[in-house]
Amino acid sequence: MKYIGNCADKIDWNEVIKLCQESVTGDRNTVVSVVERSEVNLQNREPMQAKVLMSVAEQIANEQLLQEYRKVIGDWRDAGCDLDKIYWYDYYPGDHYPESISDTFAAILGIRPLRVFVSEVYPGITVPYHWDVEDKGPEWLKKYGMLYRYTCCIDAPRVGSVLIVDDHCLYDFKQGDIFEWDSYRNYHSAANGGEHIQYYFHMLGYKIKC
Amino acid sequence: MLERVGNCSKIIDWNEVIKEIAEQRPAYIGPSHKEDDPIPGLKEVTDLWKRSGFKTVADGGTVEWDMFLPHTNFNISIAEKFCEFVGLKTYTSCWISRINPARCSPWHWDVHDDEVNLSQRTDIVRYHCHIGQPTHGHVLIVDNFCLYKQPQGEIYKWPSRTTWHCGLNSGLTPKYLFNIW
Repeated sequence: MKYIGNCADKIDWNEVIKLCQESVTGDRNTVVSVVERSEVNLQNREPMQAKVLMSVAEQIANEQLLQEYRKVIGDWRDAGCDLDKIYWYDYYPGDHYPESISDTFAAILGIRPLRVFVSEVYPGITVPYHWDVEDKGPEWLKKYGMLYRYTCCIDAPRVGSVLIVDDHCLYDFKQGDIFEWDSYRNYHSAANGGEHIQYYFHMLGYKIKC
Repeated sequence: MLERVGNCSKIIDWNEVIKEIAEQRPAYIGPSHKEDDPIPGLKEVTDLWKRSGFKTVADGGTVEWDMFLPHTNFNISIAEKFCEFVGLKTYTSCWISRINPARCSPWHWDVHDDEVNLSQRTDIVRYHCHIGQPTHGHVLIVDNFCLYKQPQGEIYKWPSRTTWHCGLNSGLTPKYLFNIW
């Protein structure tokens, strides 16, 4: 993971956090919701298209994605994690905070965003070792070649709360610090043993060619 | 300030110690104190936990750690060898803690049953040792230091017995830590 810089002077992250905190429509992710959503996406996504127009290769790719979800959750179950207690909230540009936030962030990085969200981890909650299985990953890779993933530590440093990406443990960072992941598929995890809810901003996208 | 003391992996086979205790039931499961126990200092910890929404596993939350003790769960010679290594003449308390995946030991200090007397003592020195292999998700935060992927056997001396800390495990294997003061 690579430190890119700090954007606290360009984006008012406290305002973004406030909007997320005030929102009652945050997307609650659980083990069940994540898998079900993906399976429904596959099975109900324009049924005719799924059955007739999807190439064999696409169908295999989708099945592989589902297997990836199941593997992550199977690993958690095998480790003895209490799956009912694993959850986090996501907040999206346009729905929960202005799209201009992600536009500004993307412009700083020279990125065209494909997936953007603020994640919220409550005290006592752990989101164990996993990678963010991306339903559209194969499609986007084919289209854009390379995908880039960024995390911005948008909250003030909070005691007792960590985000671990690959070998890097983010702790006691500065508000606005931006990190580029080695790969969008990096395994990562988050845990919060502190007093405050922790927020991170995430962006997946491709680089704009100059 | 937290201070690195050295590494004892050449004098203690921590893999063997972990193997031994992994097969046992813990001496007890923490936290051992209840919210209204009349112990000085406890309220500031339980108030923080309550305010932040932390709950024990027994109450439907994720707060839980296992406690393994010398004599009961592992050979006392382990504690003695450790004391010799760090130059500790004697110890009052020694344990190995285990935090299982997706469980946590939230921000707290170790309030002791005998806090009234212990708080008067000035001779207490506290150490911990990372006894497991460096593993994704195994985190210990002491004061403002975040210890992650520490080599097996790394020893740290604490600023104080009562320093605030927390243990997290977002990995897929149990996290073990040796503690002594």
